[in-house]
Amino acid sequence: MNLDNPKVLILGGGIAGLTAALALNRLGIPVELIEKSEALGGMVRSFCCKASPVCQQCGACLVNDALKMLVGAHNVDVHLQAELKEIKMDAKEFLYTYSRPGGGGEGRAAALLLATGFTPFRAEDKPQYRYGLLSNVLTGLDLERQLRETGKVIKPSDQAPPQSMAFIQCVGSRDLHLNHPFCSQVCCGYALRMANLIKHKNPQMEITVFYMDIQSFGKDFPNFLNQTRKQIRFIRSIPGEISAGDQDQLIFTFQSDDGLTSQKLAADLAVLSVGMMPGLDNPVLSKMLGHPLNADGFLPANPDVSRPEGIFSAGAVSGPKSISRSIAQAYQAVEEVAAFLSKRSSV
Amino acid sequence: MMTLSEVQKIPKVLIFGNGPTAQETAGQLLDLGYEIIEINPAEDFSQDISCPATGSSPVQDYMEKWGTLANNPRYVLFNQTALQTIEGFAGEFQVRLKRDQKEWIETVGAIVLAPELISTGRFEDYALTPSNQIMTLEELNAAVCSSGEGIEGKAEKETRLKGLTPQTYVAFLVGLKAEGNVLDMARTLSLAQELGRKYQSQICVFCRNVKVAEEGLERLYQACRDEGVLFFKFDDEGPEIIRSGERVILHFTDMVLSQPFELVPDLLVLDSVHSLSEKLQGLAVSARINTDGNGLLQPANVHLLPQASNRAGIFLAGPGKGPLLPRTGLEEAKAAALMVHHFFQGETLENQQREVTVDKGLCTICLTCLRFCPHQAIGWSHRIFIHPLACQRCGICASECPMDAIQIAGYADLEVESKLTRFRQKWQEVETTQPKVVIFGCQRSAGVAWEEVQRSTFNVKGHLDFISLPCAGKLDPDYVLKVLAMGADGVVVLACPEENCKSIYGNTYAHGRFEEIRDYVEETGFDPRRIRFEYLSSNMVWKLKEIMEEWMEELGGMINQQSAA
Repeated sequence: MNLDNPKVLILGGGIAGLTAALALNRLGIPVELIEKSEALGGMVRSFCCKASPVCQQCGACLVNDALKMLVGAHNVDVHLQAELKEIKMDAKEFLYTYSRPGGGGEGRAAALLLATGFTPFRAEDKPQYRYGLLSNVLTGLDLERQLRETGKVIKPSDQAPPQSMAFIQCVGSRDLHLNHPFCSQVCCGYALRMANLIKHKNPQMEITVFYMDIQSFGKDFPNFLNQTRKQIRFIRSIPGEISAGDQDQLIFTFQSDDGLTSQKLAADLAVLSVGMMPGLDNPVLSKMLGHPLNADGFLPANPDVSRPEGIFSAGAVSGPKSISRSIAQAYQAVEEVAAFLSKRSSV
Repeated sequence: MMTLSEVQKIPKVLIFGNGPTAQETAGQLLDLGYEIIEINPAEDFSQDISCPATGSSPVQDYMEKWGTLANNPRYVLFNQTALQTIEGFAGEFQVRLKRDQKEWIETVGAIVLAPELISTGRFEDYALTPSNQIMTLEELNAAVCSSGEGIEGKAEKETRLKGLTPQTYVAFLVGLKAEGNVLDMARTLSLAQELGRKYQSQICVFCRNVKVAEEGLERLYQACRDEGVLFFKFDDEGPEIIRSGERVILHFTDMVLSQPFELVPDLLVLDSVHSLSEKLQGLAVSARINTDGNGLLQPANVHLLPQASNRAGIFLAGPGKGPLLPRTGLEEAKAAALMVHHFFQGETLENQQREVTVDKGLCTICLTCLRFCPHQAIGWSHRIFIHPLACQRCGICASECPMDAIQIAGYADLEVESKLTRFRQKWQEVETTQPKVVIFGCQRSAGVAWEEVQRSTFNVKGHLDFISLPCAGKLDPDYVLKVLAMGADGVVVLACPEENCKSIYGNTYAHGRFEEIRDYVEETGFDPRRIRFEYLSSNMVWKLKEIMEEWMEELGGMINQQSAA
């Protein structure tokens, strides 16, 4: 290996991995990027623009900027549909092999940057909301895709536009029954921004948000929330159930403020704000790398127990994170990599 | 005009701030080999950093390591020093500093503003006055944490805390008068837990929303509840506060029990308003560093993520952008250090390599360009010059210039015109009766969407041609008129959504110019429906298709009507 110009291996080509690859490329540090899926861009690629009409700072468009810049990045070697098979560490470097269609490959890297992202919560695991059974129960991701592809909201049951809809927050997050004692940090952001977008396009639409606590996001959040409260109805209660009602409507059953009586609300469409869960590969990666998982199953950026030298992480692999935080963390990780490599070369 | 290779980058960085973010940035940049001047506006560094939940331990470690930095010959620290002005351009800023009565100028290549926020207790909002039994979160934090030495009234506050017993009540009022933030909540939770454990007092937290959107905070919230801390959530400004002599009485209706309650806290803790110091707000104005709606650093614009300002060579990190946990400040410090490193050592971005020229013969030094440049890249003495490092090649100046004296390689007027001529030749060759449309779009948003449209199934009847602009702000009114004069049926201008322009105002300038063009077009007798302005982001392919399909249909109809007439 050329020690003057050591390579960095990045696992994952979502917003964090791409940002890190470009940042390393700008420093002239060669990158090999392994992406499991067929395309770069990760989850953010399927998110919609939420400008309504003013930009709501979701950052979804930034993945396009990154993909565009990657075209001119000469030092980034990308392998799609590729998976890390084996990785070994000796004193100075990582030796690894990966598989991909048409034969795998092997390489050596001086540092490893984990950017494998997250897995969305499986809405089926909250059976009381009947996701997959009632066609007009969507997840936040389903709604992102609808809006991204068509700019419109429709009820899957009859392809007609709904007149009312309700978001349920914290689906899979902050859930002690599921042993998920963490906030996913992004769901308030995406739900309220999409609610504002839909309201902007369809001023007649009645939108309700069921919530526990609204989390702050973006710049000048107090003003954002005041504006949003003017057009969206907020109910501080998490429904216990969604059932089928008359005329293709959905019935949300939730507790009243007193906690004793239950109330019902009918709406045409339900959106489950599913949270960010650990990546499915985290246990395998943890074992392969000797990198401890935290109590929630993520690969923490600053683990309590030490991880092997030369491993860095960016984005949701270490815990739920917004697009903006993933970008900041990618920069942070690259700064750490640069410092690590310069220290190593001076030894 | 200077070229990139002719400008200097002095490898010295000025860091402004008095807290862990500034210090971490300094440490990282020293490691990366830069010379550092750190300006601390205060007497000492901010000590308000401890308490478990706010991620203090790495900060404290850092404070311990701090001593070693001072020994580095590449590091200079000026305490109690004011940053008066920033002049010059990226690579070679002149900063005027003032300490006591002495003022002097330092020259640095880059600047990182990493200030802490000034916290002012919301006593007025709650109609309360400070006393030993009423204190702010920050004061309580200082009294509880060992590192709070030197905080005014710490001894009295500590005495007050020692009076807490299992029979006493502590109430926190947080995020009620204005929507709260994660920093205040993290402090509240960790202090509530600490006081509960230490004094076994009954702790009550009054808030609108429990902010737990940071690692570990939901766990801490649950632990507080398990340990008996009571949380009362409100949708309005919270309990009614009544002052009765020395006592404060909180009146409220419990949502769950629907019963009125009265609480007389032995200790009442309030949240604060967090703002940038007036001095720094003034500097931001004079140096034209854009702020957000609350006067905090960095406008709400995702293209500035993570740590950029509207000016090249000036970076922003930490709480000055808005309240955040200290550990997030440390993340930002490293991200900012990388952006500085990119600025000095990084490969020059493609657009930065484009040549920008000012024609001395045409320029009348009217200074229009200087007033319009969102990046403060233009200066003048006996002539106008555009600084190649500060300039982002957005082209706003070029389209605003009344003399057309400014040109950007790749987007010069002659280059655009020759593209238009090629379109005309093409239309003539095909002798089409279908609508002919020219799209002017920002290369980073509309350009990306256009590429994707072309790859997808997209059937419109007519001829569509795209002219890429570095930013919609480069749109010259002449272009639109020339296209119409050339025989096109329609012109559409596509700009990034409001507050999403990489050059801050390029899209709104383009919109303003377009409105002027529309008036002019109408006056000259063209149907105004033939020109359009739309906001479009790179991931709005559906909208571009929809606009084109509907509009081409409409334009086709107009052509048929005309030919029938």
